[in-house]
Amino acid sequence: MVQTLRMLESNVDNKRYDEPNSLNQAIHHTDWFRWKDAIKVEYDSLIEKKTWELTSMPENQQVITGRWCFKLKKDRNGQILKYKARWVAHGLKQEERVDFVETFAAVVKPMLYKCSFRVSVKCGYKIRQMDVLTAFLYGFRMKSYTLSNLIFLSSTQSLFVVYAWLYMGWSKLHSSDIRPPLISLKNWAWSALSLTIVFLSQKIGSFALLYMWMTYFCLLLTNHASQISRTNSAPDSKWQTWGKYLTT
Amino acid sequence: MTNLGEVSHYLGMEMDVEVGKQIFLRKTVYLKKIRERFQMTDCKPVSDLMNPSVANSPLPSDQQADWATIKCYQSAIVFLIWPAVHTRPSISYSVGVPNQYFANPGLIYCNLVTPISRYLAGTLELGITFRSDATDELVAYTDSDWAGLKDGQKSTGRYAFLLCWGPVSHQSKQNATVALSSIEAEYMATTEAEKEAL
Repeated sequence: MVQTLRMLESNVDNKRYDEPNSLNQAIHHTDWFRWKDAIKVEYDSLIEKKTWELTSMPENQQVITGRWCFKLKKDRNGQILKYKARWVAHGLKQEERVDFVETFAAVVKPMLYKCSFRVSVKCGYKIRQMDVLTAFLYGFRMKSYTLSNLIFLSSTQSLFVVYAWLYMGWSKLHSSDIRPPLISLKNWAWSALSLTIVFLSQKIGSFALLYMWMTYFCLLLTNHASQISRTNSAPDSKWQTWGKYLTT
Repeated sequence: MTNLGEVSHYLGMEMDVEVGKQIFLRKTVYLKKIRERFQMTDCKPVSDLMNPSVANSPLPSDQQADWATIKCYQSAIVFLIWPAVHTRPSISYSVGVPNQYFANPGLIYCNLVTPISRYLAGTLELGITFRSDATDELVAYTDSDWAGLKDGQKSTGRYAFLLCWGPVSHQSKQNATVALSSIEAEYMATTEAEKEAL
């Protein structure tokens, strides 16, 4: 028996590497073009839903990094149906009682679906499945979160990390020390660094990359402008009410 | 949002649906997968889930299992809990007993896991069925043993709720306190079931 269990353990290490664990593994995967499409779908979906905006880095704020998760969806016989990629935040970078106070994990209770199956059997209903591409829970955010973003270049398979800052400024708007997020020297330094990385990785001279980079940079500038105008022109009503609500 | 058509598998279970007649839930693919993973593809099926002599003997303190064995034991139990909760109520007690010694099993409790896998190997196709021609009432069963496990002398109560001949809710749980008589143990099991019913 003990021998059997030892055998089991050696088998646990020989995991199947159908699903890459990181972006790097996915790039070297044989099905990379499929994973790439999956990443694109997820990225486009996040852009379409306007889930984030670029802002400057607030001071004394921990940056929460993220990574890509890859998953194969299979049918009941184990055949591959779909390649899925999802961008997730590193929740482990948060600290309990500092960044969050309570957690919640959604768990399905067997009784729930079994009772609904029973209803469908009794009434002769058909059961259909559906798939929601990007689902969100609506809720009030009590705290601002800063996430690092990973921009991904499809054309060249090269990638570079750009620190873009997602800043839901609700909880900060009510406080007195509003600092308009101007482009500081630090941001310029980061931009220059990223630019260097891009050029190094491409051995200098790819116009497409340069073009994309400039577009991104313009985006950064316009976002800063909109952020400033919003903080200055909305001193009352909605934002202050939100602030009051969030502090109580 | 896309329509994936009629349901054929759900939460890792295969579903055989005959509209208006019956729904059959089973976990054959999952069980085959974990059987491969634990290298038990050619094991001989058994009909006994537990060895009574093992289950009834107290935990000997001198037989301590080594680290690797404990790790394997734990991973095997984790894989067995899922079918026990969803489609195989029959193994919930035999999974629950070794699960109580999850952190520190002696050698003797490691021996409780293999019979479950071998039993499952013989009954891969079994699952739970909801039939439309069954009665419409909620049927509940409770039962309890009395000091079933010699280690701690506590009783284990269990219940099952049936709708359309399919168990919608079932549990096998060791009581928190020691029962002085078998009728007290039965009362404890009934209380758990009533709590679930409410």
